[in-house]
Amino acid sequence: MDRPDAGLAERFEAALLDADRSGAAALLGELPDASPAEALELVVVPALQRLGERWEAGDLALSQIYLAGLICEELSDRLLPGPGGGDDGPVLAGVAALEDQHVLGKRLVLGALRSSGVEVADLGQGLGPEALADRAMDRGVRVLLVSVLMLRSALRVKELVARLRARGSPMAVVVGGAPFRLDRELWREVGADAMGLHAAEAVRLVNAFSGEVHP
Amino acid sequence: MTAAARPQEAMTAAARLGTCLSHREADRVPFILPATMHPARLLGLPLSEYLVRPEAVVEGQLLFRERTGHDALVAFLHAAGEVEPFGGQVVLHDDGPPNAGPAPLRGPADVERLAVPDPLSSPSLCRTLDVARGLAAAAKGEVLVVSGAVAPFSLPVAQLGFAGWLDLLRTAPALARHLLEVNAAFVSRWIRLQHEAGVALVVLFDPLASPQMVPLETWMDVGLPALRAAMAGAVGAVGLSTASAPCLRTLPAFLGAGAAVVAASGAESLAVHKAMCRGRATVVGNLDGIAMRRWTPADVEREVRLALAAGGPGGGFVLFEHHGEIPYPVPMEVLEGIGEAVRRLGRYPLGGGG
Repeated sequence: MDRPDAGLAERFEAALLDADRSGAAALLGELPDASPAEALELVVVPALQRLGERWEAGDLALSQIYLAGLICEELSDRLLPGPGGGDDGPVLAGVAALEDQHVLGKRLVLGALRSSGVEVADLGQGLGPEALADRAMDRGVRVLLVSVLMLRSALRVKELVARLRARGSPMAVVVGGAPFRLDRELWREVGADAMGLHAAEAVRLVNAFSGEVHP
Repeated sequence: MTAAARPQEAMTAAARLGTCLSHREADRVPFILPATMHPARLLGLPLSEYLVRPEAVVEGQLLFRERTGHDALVAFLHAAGEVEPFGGQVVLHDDGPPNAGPAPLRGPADVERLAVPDPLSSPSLCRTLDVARGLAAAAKGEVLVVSGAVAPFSLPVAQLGFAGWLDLLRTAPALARHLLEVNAAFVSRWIRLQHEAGVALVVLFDPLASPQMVPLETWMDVGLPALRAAMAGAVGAVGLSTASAPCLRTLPAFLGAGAAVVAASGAESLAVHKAMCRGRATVVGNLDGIAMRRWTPADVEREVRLALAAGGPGGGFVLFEHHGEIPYPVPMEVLEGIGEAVRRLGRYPLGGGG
């Protein structure tokens, strides 16, 4: 189907920033010919991407990104109901907070991925490298997204990657969080495969590493 | 280079910092290295043992100052301890700062029941006071003791979790205000206890005051009143910091709250920050501790020179690390190098080459 006009996209973003759940849902209804997956691809995911970029540029607060992510996740659940990685079976992607108990980054990434229909599991928080490697391998994760808050946790990604490779796992490891944003070479230093500057980049990175295409 | 090998300076560190806080040029630009962990390495102690032995922290801070020549003694141990009075845990490590354990407040019901806890109920905070008293006694007035605390609006990140706090602000504003009242009373008492133990300057860390985290109008509406309430009972100097998050838009409110010291973020212009604060508050900043891990001697020289040029003229500036805690992986050589560079390049009048 044709791409929606720019006005619809702007109004959808404005609805997200106004925490207008019903307004955002109604705007998706202005795409009567779109399948649910197309609505996610053409409106929801690009909106999250643009909001993430605006946060990166200093225009928005993290709390606004969080709320927008919650709304989009709710819309996605309504459009594409069904298991998205909540059972114990194999999943494409897994998200975890390494070492830290701070889960906001993990929540944002989970929301962005679920909003785009990616099969993703919440692998938890406060886990050390060995426990996270075990959990990710048990779920058959192909792309592991790791969120951290503190530099110490970021540096432990090195051990996580080493454990995965020692077990012969080709799992891609994508990292994000404040230490990686502040030191743009840190992801290479710890042996990660990529870094996301904000949660919405998770969709692009999962697509890139999985070889599959999700909205 | 140890103190014995360094040329004697014209002023004591306390006099230098006092002159600076009065917005006058001292003999040189002061610098403070907020190294809460490096002294453990100097003493050959595991960090998990060091942080629970106040006498070791006192010895370590004195040794660290001997090695670097920085202009303060740091009593602050770690931010994780501030959640202990609320039922939280401190998880110690040997390779980095402690983590706060799982959030002790599970949701609105816990917030509703919450009363103001006593800072003295926390083993970690009691150790901080023991360290402060020990450092003040050792300093004999020649070096000021500095410390920190988490501000009322940012403390809920550890009490409830960041997402839990954002949810509470949005869905239960009355409960959020109650939590802020409890936190303001707690932080006010905690600041005062530290001042009474000999701390000259307590820096309040309020990262959620940055527009990068929550909209500025939200913080102004509920965070700023709580901050002012926490500062009201202070009997010494209070500084404000967003722990490296962008803060220029918050700065007018920080100044209006009466901060003696305001921390600059490495993400923003130190010169602009200094211009906004001139004559009203001393600026501390804005070296990047994460980048310091890889600094060469040339990097040290460049970064110190840039910061001194931007913040130094006219006094009212202390060279500092913008997160408020130097990461443990930063080599001691870098920290000693910063001291050497400041002593060489930071003598007033600046630009004279030392």
